[in-house]
Amino acid sequence: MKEVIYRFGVETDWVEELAASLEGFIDGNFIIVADDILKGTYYTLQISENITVMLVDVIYHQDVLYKVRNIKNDFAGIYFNLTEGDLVHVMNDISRSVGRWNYNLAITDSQLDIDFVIKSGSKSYGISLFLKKHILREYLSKTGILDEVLNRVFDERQNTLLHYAHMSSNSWHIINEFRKSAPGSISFNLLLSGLAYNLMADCLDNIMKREITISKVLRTDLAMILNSQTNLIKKQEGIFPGITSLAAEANMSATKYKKLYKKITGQTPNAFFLNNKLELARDLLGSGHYTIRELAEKLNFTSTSHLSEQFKSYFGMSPKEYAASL
Amino acid sequence: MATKDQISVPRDIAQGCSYFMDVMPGLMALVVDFSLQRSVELNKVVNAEDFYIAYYDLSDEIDIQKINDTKMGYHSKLGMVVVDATLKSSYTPSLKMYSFWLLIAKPLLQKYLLGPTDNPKMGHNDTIVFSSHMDSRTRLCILKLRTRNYNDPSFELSLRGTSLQVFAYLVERINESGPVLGKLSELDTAQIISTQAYLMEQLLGAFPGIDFLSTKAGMSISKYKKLFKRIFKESPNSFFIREKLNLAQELLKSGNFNAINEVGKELGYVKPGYFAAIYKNQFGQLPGEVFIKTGHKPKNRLTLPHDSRRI
Repeated sequence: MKEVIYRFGVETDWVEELAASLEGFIDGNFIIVADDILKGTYYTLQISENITVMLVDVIYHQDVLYKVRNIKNDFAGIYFNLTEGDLVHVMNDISRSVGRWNYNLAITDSQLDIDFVIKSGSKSYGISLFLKKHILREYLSKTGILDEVLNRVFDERQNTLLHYAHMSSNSWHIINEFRKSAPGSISFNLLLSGLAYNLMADCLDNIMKREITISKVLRTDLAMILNSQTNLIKKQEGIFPGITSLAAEANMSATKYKKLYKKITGQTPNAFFLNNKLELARDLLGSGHYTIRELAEKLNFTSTSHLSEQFKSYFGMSPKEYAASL
Repeated sequence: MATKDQISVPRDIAQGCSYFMDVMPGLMALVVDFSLQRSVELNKVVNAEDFYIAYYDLSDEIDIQKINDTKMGYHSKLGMVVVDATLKSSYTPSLKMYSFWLLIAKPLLQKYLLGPTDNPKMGHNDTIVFSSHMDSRTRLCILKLRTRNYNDPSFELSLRGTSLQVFAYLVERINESGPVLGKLSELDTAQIISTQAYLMEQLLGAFPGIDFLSTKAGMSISKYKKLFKRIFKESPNSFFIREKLNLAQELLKSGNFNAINEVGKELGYVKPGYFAAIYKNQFGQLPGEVFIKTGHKPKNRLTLPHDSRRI
């Protein structure tokens, strides 16, 4: 697996490093990467001293493990991922990150280390905005969030800014309209800048409507939850370990564990576990090496019909239909 | 106090300005909205020689009004004007309703007119003139902005986003059509644009004739023809026919006529075959393919995506 360690920032000095770790080079705003790793558009643009935007529209030809290790902590990232969106139904080439989270919009602090794997064959489309924290703070304070709350959220000693959500359908429309323009054309940088501002406006609207809530999470708690989630993925063929055991592993009370888990990932541990199991079931089914009965056994479903039922409610079609459509 | 070569924003070009913003170095945006009475403190003075003005008027469309049972009124307007800011007297925008303005510094626009080989496409004396219909992408953008509330914390971001988008679309259009070569005098440009506006008012009748138009513009026939073509990249006659047929299309779709022939007659076409032929020449389809007869419900007009109305 190709491992790519990189960092982001509003200042674009990291672009060269990213290009190098992808074994590519910079050509204007483009990062050109060898076709055997990925093919498509990798494009960065600094819009102002406070905002930088990155567009990634690629197909992966190798498994790539991304490790984000930011050095600067003066910015936040807003990530729009259209690939995993509910509105895009791509069955076989969906990009799956380790610990597949049920989100297509993420707002994260630059202090957060993030690892994720993108599988070979994935089609990935993402818009990332990097914003100086003081600008983000300025926008947020306009929405009427109280200063004391903001002080706590932006307190670098304890908290880390984090939010996962579903992008609004308006954001989705804005991005879709933008996708009609050709990267590198004369008006492209203007359109990309326009896109960044329009998306920020929409985010702010949703914060106003409280559909996005900016909240604080203790960094140590976050690390615990992410760790716990990784453990869950390792055990995904088995049976659900139970909240008591997971909470003990994370050194928390069961109540606190459940609450934090939901806050950070937006799902209960149980739902996360089941959804990942079903994703795995789909992949294994796709490999053609297993019958549905064998799968139910391998993945510890109580019965074949239980698997079928859950599969259908998650993917909208039964495993039988899915296997037939391959 | 503004001198001759300066424009003060907003008092001078846009009384009733509701919103003003520096979008990026060399690009300013203005919103004029008469539904909002608000005094804008800012009175920025810029040197007109250094700027282009782009003006977008949302009342740009073909309007069909019923005057009485037998008579209809038509009003067709060009909603997009782009000129050198020193030529601002070339047109008088209607300061009714809602309009959107960009002030674009010449060096900024020049930057977006560079060909791939870095050869400037535009010479020192060349200029940009547009007086035409707004493209639908731009129109949707501005319509969407219009649904936004000025007091929303996101308004500024969204105006910035919209301005960049509208500017990008303008850059694309200019690169398609190219600049107007050679220097233009303010008076000549004003005269040419005013005859163009006159043509827009005469769409139901026959072409008034070059003689008449050039006299109206106070120029010789040859100068008039040459200048019109230089600015609008087509002859007065072909401009007239194109706009006439645009109106024809709206009339055909309006559901106000019993037969295609009636539409032809309304526009002064006596021979149905000729009308059909030139219509097909412009739109690639026959009038019959879009015609909606009286009593049948007209198809829905272009509307905003559902979401953008939700504010």
